Amino acid sequence: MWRLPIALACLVLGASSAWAGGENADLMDEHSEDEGPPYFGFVRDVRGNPLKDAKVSLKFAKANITYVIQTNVLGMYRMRNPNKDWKPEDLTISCAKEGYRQTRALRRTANVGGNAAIETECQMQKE
Amino acid sequence: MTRSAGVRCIVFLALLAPACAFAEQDIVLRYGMAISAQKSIYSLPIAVAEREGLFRREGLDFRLVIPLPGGSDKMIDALHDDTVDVTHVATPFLVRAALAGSDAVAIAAEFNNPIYSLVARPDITKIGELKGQVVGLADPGGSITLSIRKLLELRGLREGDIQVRTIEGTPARLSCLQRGECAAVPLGQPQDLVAASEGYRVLGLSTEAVPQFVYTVTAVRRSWAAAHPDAVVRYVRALGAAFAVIRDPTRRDRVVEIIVETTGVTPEIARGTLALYFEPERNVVPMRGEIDLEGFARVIDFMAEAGQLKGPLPAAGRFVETRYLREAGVR
Repeated sequence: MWRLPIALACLVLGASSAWAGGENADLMDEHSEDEGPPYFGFVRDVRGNPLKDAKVSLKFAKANITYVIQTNVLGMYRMRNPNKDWKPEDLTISCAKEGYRQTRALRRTANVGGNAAIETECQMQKE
Repeated sequence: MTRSAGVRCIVFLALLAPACAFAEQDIVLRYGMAISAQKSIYSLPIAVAEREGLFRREGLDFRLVIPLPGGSDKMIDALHDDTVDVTHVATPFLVRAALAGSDAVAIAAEFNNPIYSLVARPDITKIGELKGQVVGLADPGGSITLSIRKLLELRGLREGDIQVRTIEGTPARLSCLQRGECAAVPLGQPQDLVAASEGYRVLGLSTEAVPQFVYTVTAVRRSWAAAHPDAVVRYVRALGAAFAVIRDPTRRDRVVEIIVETTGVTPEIARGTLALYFEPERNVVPMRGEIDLEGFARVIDFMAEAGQLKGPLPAAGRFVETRYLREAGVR
């Protein structure tokens, strides 16, 4: 069921390494044996339109660390998982954007195992 | 007691219970850390405070937040867009933001006098041999770059003598060196000790070229702190207690353990890092988070020397709020 999103994720992650931008772009693109599966996802409004500059919070409860990342013009973000011991089931995702409230936040875990990318999705409604 | 009085008493206690539970709830505090600091020694005070339960002891529900893509210059932004409540920040970035209109101020020192080793490929034996080579430096306006430039100058290399590549974060700079793309890079602890153990050559230390200064601080917006003084004082007290643990020789094994867990180095490298800081004392780790105003003013001087500040230089006191340190019992 999730083959298409996973394939898309691979394409997106492969093609958009320059997207992350910012001063830590090279750091974020470092590969390490300690890394877990990367995360990517989209923030959209209820009509499916991408929301730019929405804040996506990925909280890894066991480590008490929250990564906060902003979406790009496609309403998309991506992030490497810095620790292979942090499992997707330990992750809580939430999204925020001024003037909007979150109506849905999903995490999709691939059945293929290994280090396949994990997709998340947030839906926001205008207040 | 009659039965009805007993029932009334139980009902009263039941009504009171949620209020008591609410009163005992910890204060949420979101602390911003740059991703480049997460696995470096500069996360040590926070790691110690968390793992030793010092934030909990102060009644804080401490939450570590890492804004991405991050970068030292983005940490004050994270205060302003409500991503975090307090943040770790290198001093020049705080000064720059405050001069641009931010109401952010330093409330405690986190690290002073950083020791950055200029580490080179094994075949390079002295700084003069870096002429014409690629040197990976940090943000051009940051204290790492300023101090390494001074070290290069001290050994006869001028600004145009090297090719500069800007790379944020010690792990990324180490990677550039290992890939052979950089001839030399400044590395903090513990990565400099790791690189030296792998055969790379330490050409010099930043502390050879610069006097003592305040490197990183915890910053907060004045407006936020004024509205949440209790949270700020509790944070400062917990941070001060973490410094006391780091400095306590009887707790050395535990601190080594925490460095190993957070940075991934061996216990020997972790011990070497602490020895570098404390044997002899190099005033790298604050006693309790106190802010040295002279050391802060030196950062402003560095910035002026680098052409980042012009005209009459602002006083260090403008960027510092010592009220919370005093209220936390730190002089």
